[in-house]
Amino acid sequence: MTALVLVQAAALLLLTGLAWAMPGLAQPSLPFGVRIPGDRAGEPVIAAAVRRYRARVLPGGLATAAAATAGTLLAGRSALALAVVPPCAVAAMVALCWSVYYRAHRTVAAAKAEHGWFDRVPQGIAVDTALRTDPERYPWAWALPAAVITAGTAVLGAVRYPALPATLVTHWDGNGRADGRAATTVLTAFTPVLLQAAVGALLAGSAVVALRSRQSLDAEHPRASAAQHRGFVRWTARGLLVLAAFVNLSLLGTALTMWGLLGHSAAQDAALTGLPVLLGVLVVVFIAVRTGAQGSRLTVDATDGAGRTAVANRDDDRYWKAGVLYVNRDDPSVFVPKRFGIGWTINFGSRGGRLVTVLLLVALLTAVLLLN
Amino acid sequence: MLIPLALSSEVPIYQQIRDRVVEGIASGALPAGSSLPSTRALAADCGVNFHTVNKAYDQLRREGLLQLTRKHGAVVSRDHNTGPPPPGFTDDWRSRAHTLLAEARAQGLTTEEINALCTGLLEDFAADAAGEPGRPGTGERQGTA
Repeated sequence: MTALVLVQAAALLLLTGLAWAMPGLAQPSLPFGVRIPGDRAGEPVIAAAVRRYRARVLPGGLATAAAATAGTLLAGRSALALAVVPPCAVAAMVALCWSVYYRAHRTVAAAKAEHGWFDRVPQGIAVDTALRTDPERYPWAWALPAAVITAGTAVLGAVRYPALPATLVTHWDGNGRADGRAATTVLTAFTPVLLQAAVGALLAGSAVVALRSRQSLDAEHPRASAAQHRGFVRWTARGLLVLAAFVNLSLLGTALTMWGLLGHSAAQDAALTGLPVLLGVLVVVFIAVRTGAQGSRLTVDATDGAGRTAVANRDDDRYWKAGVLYVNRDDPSVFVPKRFGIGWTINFGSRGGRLVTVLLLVALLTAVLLLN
Repeated sequence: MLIPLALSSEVPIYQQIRDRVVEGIASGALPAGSSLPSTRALAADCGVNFHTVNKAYDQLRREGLLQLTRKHGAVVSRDHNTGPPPPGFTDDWRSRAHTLLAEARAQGLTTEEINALCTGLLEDFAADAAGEPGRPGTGERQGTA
């Protein structure tokens, strides 16, 4: 249970930190998800909104982490409580972050409308065809660690299989006691390997999606943002493959314990399972913070010449519901860059987007059912 | 190659796409044999309807500048090195130039000024084609990350 308390607290504190950092990671023309002409980025109302946002999200996040920790400690040994507190804590954190963000979003949007920031400002789009005809290559070398770990675990399992006892522990409760056993079959014994392959495939596939994601260049700095886009998808793909390797390492630890090759203790389990995943997540977070949204924090060689181009980015706020959900039937893209945070979100107005949503929900339900 | 599109312009988007591609071919950014994204990919990147890009590509195809194949996608089929223009092109272009030059003359530009402008533009095309083979956006990847 100590492990659960620590992991939960660490995750919530990490989320708080990321939420606090978020305004500094956003693209310059999108403060709190509001599209503005570049030369308005220095407006005092925006800086004030950032200060207010941070002043609200930091104590709110810390309070949520404290409440969740207290909740878990008070839950004691109640398995139900231990299962309920973490998801509620995460949901509360997400709700807090969104509501504080949305207030800031409304403030900036109101200032933009009131002062007519887009009045008589020509709007434009920029597309770099080279991003499609000469795309970033898949970083196969970075996929090797995950593949090697999976293969190694499989080999180890094959060697160990004959010596396995008649039943295997398949589930430990929050207190480290075995509460589920299954007959030893190839399927149950190799579950960790199957999970490694599944997670590896999922993350490797996500890396493909990232590399082929649509560009959303800054029309005011098209050349520079095209180079930044390349850097962003390149590092996102690499980060996902690194995460896959760490998750596979964690599953290797689970396998070693399950196959009796390692002794078992609650602390050791937590370390073997938790630490690699934590490291993997930290790598991804580091990459996200270092690159910024769509690579906007990357320094690149490409420049757009002396001044900005004469147009501002398209004012498409109306497609963003509640500041975070993108719904645009005229846009064929399935994934578009998020406005709240780093990464991509689904275009719920497109056919492909709705299909992906359904698939994700099905996958999530399947995963939840399988774990219970 | 960078395709900037002005949303507030009176020129329709499909026309802008077509015009930028033609200019790209003239300036050497899109030599004969180079690729353009598929209709769907370009539409997704621009955030516009598939039919808008389709219209632009179709116009380029009819002009003999673009070839659309299943296997290779959209490929530039000719540039200024490929040879003389197809029959009828020069007459058609002349009649459009006639109107353009009439506009300039009606608005008071002298023959010398018009000639200087035209020569300057043609020199820019030639300079772009000759001088910057690795310019960002023409296919060479950039970025320090």
